[in-house]
Amino acid sequence: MITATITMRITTTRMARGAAAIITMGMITNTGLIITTIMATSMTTMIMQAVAADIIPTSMADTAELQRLAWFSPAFPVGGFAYSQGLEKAVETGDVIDAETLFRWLDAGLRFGAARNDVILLAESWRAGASEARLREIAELGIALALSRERRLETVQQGASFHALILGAFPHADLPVLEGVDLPYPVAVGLAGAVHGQPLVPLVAACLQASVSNLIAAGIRLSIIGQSKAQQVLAQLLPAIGSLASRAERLTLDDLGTMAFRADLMNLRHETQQVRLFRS
Amino acid sequence: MFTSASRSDATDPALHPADLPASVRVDARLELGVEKHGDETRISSRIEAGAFRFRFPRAHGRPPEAVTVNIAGGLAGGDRVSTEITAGEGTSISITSAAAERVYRSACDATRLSARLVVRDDATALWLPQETILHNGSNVQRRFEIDLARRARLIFAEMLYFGRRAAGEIFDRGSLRESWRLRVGGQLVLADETRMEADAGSPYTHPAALGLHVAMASVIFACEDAGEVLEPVRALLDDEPLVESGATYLGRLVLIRLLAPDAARLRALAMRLVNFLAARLGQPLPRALLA
Repeated sequence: MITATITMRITTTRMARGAAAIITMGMITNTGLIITTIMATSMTTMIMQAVAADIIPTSMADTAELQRLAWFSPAFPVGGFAYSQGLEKAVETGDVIDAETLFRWLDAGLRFGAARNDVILLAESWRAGASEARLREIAELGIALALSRERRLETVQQGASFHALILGAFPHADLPVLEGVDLPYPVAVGLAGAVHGQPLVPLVAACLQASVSNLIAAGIRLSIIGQSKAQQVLAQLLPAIGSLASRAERLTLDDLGTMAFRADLMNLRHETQQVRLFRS
Repeated sequence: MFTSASRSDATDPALHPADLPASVRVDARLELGVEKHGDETRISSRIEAGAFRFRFPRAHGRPPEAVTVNIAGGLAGGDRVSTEITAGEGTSISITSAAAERVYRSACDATRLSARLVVRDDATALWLPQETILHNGSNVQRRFEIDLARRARLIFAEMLYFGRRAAGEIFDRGSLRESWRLRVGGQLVLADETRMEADAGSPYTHPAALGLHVAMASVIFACEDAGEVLEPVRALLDDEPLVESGATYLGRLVLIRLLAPDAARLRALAMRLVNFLAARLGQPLPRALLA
């Protein structure tokens, strides 16, 4: 709820005041996060402003890369830290207990689970570009594919935050406002990427790495791994991330499909989990 | 197009159904429509083409109970079955099947099953087929399409067994592609896509996939106040710790998923759930299902 309120404010403020809103959010979570958040945001903001003012000469390709660094930085306040995609339940059931089992769980998501479907939704939205009718269709499908109330909340809330931030901080004449449309997170990313001329594969790779990193960070908060093991797990997952991202250009809605039955079930089971840090 | 003599040979392990010639393949189409006449639900249209039939056990004072029968006995690669049921405004209908559906090993062609259910305003439909048993090596493509009017009521339950457990068979070579679309008032509210492919490199026993489970069930309960059953349903689920399960409310409908290492336990819990849900709607369960 808190995150959603902040997001609404950012849409009506300029970038400089956006950073203030982020600080507020950081304070709700913990002290360590505040520092990281402020630093990362102000650095990204400074870089973007320098690029805009031509202080740093750069090619179009560099601009796209800097945009990706901003959009998928943990400081980009889409609120991902509040969600675990059922991982919290999988920790409780004992399916995920350490670095090895966390790697296996997240690797499954990339190979035959929700992450693969998300990549397809992102790619199709990127192809749809500014076609509103097509985007509405993909958005409706994306939400319908999320098979639990919490997963729907997660993807729709992050999609709304991401879209509002793009409209406010990275505006573009071709970017539709899509008022009243619930946008799943990968759909909002695909749309922003298309409008800003992001090449698909690097866009997917950056988005996937951010999502996976967010789940690994959830693993740290759930006390199953420490900071350095977390980096090992991420490094181990990079080949699977790269492999899925490189297939994004060929994947279409016909390729949707998962067999992550137990991982999906964790999302449903999380709804009745007694002690919980996360909203999914 | 089909002779029962050659079909029954299909159960002989020496002659794989996958090797059946095209002439004995099943290409079946079932269609049923019901409409309201006074206080009664009556059958208004009925089509039975190919190796599937409807049976209607006498149901004095009860809504019609349609029982689908596969007179071919099992399904093989290349077989196609499509079923379409339309429950008109204000009607009540239940649909089940006479026996569990077996899908045999296929050498190449997929077995294609599609089902479409349309439920209009103030109508109640119970779609409760017996389980589908996927033999190891089967290749199945299924499609479910459910279109509900805003005031329609539905109980849908579907059970899938991976491998013939009684024979100790493990399902590790079959493939399953499944697509679900459920719309309410034309709006897509539930979509599910399953893609199990043995050659994709990840074993079905992966802990994030089936793990040790061999049977799966999905139950959908839709009506205007569906959310009210969520807590009682969860209480029923909690009573059976050996079935891994969860329920969620998705606005206008409740989705329940079950996974179990034991098909009999899964079936027993699914039956308890549909029993409870049917009572909630004041509908009797089809007797063919209870038998």
